[in-house]
Amino acid sequence: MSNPVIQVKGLSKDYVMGTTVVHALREVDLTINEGEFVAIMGPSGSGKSTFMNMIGCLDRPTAGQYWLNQKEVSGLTDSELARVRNKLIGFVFQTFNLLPRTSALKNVELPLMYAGVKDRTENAKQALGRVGLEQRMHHRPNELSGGQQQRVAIARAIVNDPVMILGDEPTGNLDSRTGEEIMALFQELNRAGKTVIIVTHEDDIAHHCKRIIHFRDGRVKSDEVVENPIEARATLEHMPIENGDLEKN
Amino acid sequence: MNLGDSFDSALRSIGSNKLRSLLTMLGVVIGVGSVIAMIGIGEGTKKKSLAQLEVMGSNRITVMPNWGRGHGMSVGDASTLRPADVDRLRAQVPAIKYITGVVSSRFSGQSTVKFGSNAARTSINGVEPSAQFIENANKMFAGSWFTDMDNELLERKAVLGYAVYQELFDSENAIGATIKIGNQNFEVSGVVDYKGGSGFMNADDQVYIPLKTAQNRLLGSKDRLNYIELQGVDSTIMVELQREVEDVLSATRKDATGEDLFRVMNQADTLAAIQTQSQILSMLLAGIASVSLLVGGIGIMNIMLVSVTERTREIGLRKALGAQRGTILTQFLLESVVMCVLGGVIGILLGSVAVQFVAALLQVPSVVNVAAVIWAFAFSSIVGVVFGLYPAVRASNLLPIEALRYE
Repeated sequence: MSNPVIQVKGLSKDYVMGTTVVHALREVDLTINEGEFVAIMGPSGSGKSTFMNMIGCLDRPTAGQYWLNQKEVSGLTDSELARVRNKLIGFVFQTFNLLPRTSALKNVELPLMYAGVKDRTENAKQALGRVGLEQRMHHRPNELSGGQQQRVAIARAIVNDPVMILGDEPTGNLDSRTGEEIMALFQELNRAGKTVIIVTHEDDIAHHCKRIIHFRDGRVKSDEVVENPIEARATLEHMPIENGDLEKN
Repeated sequence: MNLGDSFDSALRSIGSNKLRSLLTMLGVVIGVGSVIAMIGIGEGTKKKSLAQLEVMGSNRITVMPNWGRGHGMSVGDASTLRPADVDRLRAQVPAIKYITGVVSSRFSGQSTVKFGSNAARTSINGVEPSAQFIENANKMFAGSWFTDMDNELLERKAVLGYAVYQELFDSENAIGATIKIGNQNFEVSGVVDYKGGSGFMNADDQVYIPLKTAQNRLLGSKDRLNYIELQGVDSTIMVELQREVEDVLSATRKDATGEDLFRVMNQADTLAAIQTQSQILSMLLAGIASVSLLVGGIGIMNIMLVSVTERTREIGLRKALGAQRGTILTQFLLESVVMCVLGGVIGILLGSVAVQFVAALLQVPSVVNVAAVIWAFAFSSIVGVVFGLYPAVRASNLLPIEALRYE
């Protein structure tokens, strides 16, 4: 039953910096199946962010092929890629990237709007409900804590029911308890069957995932299964409540 | 994403930085506002000039002695118009409906008219009764005009313009009252209804007395006229009428070099002059309009470029979430168009208020030109599109990954 959500073959990306060519990715082969929870790690310059951009269809590879949800996307036009990002991928960023001065609800509606969905409010409310922020849907980002903002971002990522969620350092701007709460949310979504891929440089965060892929010098250095992933829910019970905001609503 | 969403998001973005949006719009506001105001005032002035022509009488031709080239005004001079000229015109030009010779105190300084202790400085005009039709002064407030018989009998009768009447009688009954013109007594026979004249040669600030009375008793020049005025049977034959009048007078009134000793002024010419003048004014205004809207447009473009740079990350995010290039283009284009149109609307409102204000100050009718409003509106949206296009294209061409990583 292992349907590959991501399949890349010989994926390379070169950047031209002035006169020198930087090989950010060198012929990477990788498959990630449906329902996996993968952490991508590596020092800066290892190519992990570039890889993230490639599988997120935010950038195009110099060479190689990429099948997303078993359809080749390497040769698609800008407009087709935009549609792929909208329908198949849910992004969660380190800096949340919510639209300022715009309510949580409107932020979550954004992907639905670009998808051309007419009745957006109900779907967006449901997504906010799944991240436990139904009561705060009319708040603006500046009226929400960091953790709450990231949960709005996650609601926005899942609202179009994508095949995978891509998190780029999703806990990087959060304190450890809030980070743990976000990881709990990701684990919950993963348990419900969603494929989740996050980029992180924190070992601790990575060990919440089921699989860790290390990048180095543009290549996959190691690819291992995590035997006993940390249960974020369990960890939270032993953590002191200071900034945690799950309880705040 | 439909147009409504784009519109909504444009309004949201304009509203999120109110001061800046307002300052940006200011260029368009001032541009459109001043155009509306200036065109309104120009139209008002034109309307006033035309109205003044109307109260002075339409279809009217005036024959003046030719004073150019050093022809003096001394009695006996060949250029002097005489009653005989009127008789000849009357006899030889059938297209003349009304004609009168005029002697007027206007050419010897204003005269004072007195009633009791009230005095008014005004123009005294000796005319035949037909002048009431030529000068459009036959609608009476009270009483009636003197008759041809009064003229022949050198009666001392006077018809007052409304302004003179008000000054002397202050709305009291004037008919039959005795007024003093110079040192002679005149009986008021009529008061002309208010005509709405103003300024130089105010049609309401006139006193009419019989021509022969004026020549023999008051202005003392029995065989001399200051000018002749006449009205044609039809407004469509004014040009022909003018030529016929010129032909008749040319026969006798020429100097040694063959130069005419008179000038004929047709009201149609004056009308055409006013029209040309207002056309030049309109073109000038259109020029100012384009310049100010251009400046406003550049202001908008400048701010939109800044805004695109500032919101690079937002654009990246929108693209990551699936916004198409066209969607981003529409969003930014709509933003500049909405800003321009909003500025245009504010400008139209302010301009219309300015028109009322300045019109009241200049005592001209206030005219808010509908065509100008529509043009200003259309023009400001065009400015929005033209100057918003480049920033919008730039925004839509941003690569999602670079936009997202932009610091």
